[in-house]
Amino acid sequence: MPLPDTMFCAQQIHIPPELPDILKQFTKAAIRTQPADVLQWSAGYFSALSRGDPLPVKDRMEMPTATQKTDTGLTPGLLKILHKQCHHKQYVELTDLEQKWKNLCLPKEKFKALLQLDPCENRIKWINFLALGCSMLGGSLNTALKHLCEILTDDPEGGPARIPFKTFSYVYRYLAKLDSDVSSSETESYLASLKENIDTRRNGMIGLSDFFFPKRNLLENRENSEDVGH
Amino acid sequence: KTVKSAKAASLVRSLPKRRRTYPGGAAGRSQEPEEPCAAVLPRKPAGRKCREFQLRTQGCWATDAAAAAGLCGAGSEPSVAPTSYAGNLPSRPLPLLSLLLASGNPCPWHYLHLSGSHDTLAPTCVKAKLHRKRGSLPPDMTSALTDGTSRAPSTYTYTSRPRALPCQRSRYRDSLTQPDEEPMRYGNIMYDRRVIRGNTYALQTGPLLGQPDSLELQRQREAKKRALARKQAQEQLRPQTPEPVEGRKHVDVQTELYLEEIADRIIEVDMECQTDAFLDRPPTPLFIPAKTGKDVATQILEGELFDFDLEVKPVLEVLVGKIIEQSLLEVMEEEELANLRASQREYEELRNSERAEVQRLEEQERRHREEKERRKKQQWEIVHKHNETSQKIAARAFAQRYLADLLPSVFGSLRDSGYFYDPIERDIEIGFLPWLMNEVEKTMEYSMVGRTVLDMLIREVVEKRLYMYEHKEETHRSPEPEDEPGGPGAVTESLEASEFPEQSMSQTQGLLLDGDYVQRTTYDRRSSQERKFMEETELLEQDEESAMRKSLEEEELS
Repeated sequence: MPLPDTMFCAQQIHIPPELPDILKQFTKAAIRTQPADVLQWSAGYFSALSRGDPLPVKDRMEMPTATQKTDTGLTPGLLKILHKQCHHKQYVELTDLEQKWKNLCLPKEKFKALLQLDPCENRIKWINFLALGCSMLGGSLNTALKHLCEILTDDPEGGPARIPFKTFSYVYRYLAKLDSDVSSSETESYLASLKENIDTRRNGMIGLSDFFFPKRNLLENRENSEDVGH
Repeated sequence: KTVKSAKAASLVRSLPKRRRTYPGGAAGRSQEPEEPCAAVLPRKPAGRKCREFQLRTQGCWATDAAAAAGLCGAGSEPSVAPTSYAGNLPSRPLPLLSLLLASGNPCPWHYLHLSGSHDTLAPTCVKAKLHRKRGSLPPDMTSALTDGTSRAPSTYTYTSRPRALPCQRSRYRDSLTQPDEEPMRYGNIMYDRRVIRGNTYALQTGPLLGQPDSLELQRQREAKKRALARKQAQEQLRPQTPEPVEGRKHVDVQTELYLEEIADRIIEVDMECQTDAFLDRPPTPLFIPAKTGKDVATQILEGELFDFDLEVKPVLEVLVGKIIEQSLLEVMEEEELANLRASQREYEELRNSERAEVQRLEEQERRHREEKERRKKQQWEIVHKHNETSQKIAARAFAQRYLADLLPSVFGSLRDSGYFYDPIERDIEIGFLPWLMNEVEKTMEYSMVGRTVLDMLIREVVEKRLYMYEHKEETHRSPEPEDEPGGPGAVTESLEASEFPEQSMSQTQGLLLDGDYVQRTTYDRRSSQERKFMEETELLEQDEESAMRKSLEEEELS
């Protein structure tokens, strides 16, 4: 209802009923996401909202640690946002991705650096990009895969982050291929051993506990995984 | 206070009584009644009461009852403190005076009726007495006092009780509805005709309906008046003053020393009033208060009254503030919950993995244990078997040793028993030798038989010879050459002897297969002849036996 010509008192001011809800959701999203540039991110948020796309909102609040100086600014939460936004398509346009990257107030250089690991033309397979992002997050292959599991899993947080073994093996191979240290034979043997362990369970899912032990290194992991899986 | 008034009343009442009892010396006795009355008061409360009751034709019953009770109480007073009465002299008159003054308030009826009653009972004399008493009160006080003091120093008495002078001028008209008409009973309002009982809505309105019946009402009233007057007149017909002389009228005249104002003339004035017929009450007009104040006008320009930015500010503040606060709270809550859940799940994961580990270990343990059990069992079986085997071996060795010479002994014993035999030898033994023996026996038998037969023959011959000798008739024959053929013929004489030899003969014939045997038998017969002749009797017996054997052999042969 448009404002009447003459308003006499404060009670005549009309507030649209949807407004408080919108504002609340927006505020909550902002608090959770903690964007570096609120305006940029808000633009992204509202454009996604108007389009009906998944919103660039973190599910869990991650306090941005102040000591991040040399890293990409990329956090698992942000990756998860990106994944949420992009995973419905297998291939993602680079421009689109860039825009999303910007909306999350992530530095553009890092984006470029990421893409340099696996150069491609206009579009990139989303899973590849995700894998690259994960590798950027963690130091080793294992930690990258751990992040990947956590991002891709359907299980609730904190639970056994399980993803299909196929995906896992694909990503592992992909990253191992890019990483020159690890030879393909090792990769294959590792994957084979893991596969044995998982086949007993018959659901084809691999969880964190199968390959990742936070305090031990890779070799031990392999042995232990063999030991554990009977 | 009514108590005391009643006291006074009783005093007053008792006065006439006393008068009656003491008819003479009325004048001089005016002082007395105070004393005896007073004296009576303390002593005979009961008597006083009954006097009251007797007099109780009129008057106020209610107050009288109270008075009676009070009097009893009052009467007890003097008995309680008799000695104090002398001191109370001055105080006593005062309360009585006040009481008498106050007597008008509680029950005017009481007082008036008193006077009225006295009027009706013995109006002239009592009034006169009263008046007299009143008149004589002041001068008698002192003498009464002195008398009282002299008479009974213990009890306080009045010679003349102080009391208020009654006003004879009745201010109000005596009501038409006198208690003459309606005798008043004391107490119960339930039975009071003046009190309306029952439905008030069903009361008869009567004269209200019929307005023009005022004439009738008046007539009724007049009729009532007349009736009353008649009644009164009848009462008045009781001993009263005689009719006036012709041409004169009775007039009440005051004959006392001091004239009194006649105040019982009631001033009557007729007044009339008229009202209009009843009208409906009109509705009340609306109350519109009067206008007060002044009218003033003003003009408002645009934008003066309402400034959006200013007005919206508080709204915005609230909105934004609330939103932020709320969202912050919610985010924190959600965060906390999510953290909680995440940690729960992590813990559960850990627990699951540990449990899996534990289970695995348990499984391992179980398998080890089973394996151990199995091995132990196996080992035990082996040992057991081993033992058994050794035992068996030992047993076998022992048995072997024990039965080592069993075999030779067995064989030996068997051999000894004759289980191992040469068949030919056996055969010879079984077959041949018995036969041989039989034959030998037979042959021997033959010879025996021969001999026997011979003996028999000889015996016979001898017997015959003997017989013949005895008889000397018979011819003897030489039995020797005819032994064999004449055997049967010679024997026919004696059955027994003949049969046997016959058989033997046949037997010997049968058996004489071999000539050697025959030879032998004959030879044997001959050699033994001499021997046998000696032993005839024995031979006979033997012959019998041998004959039996032969018969048996014969049977065997056959």
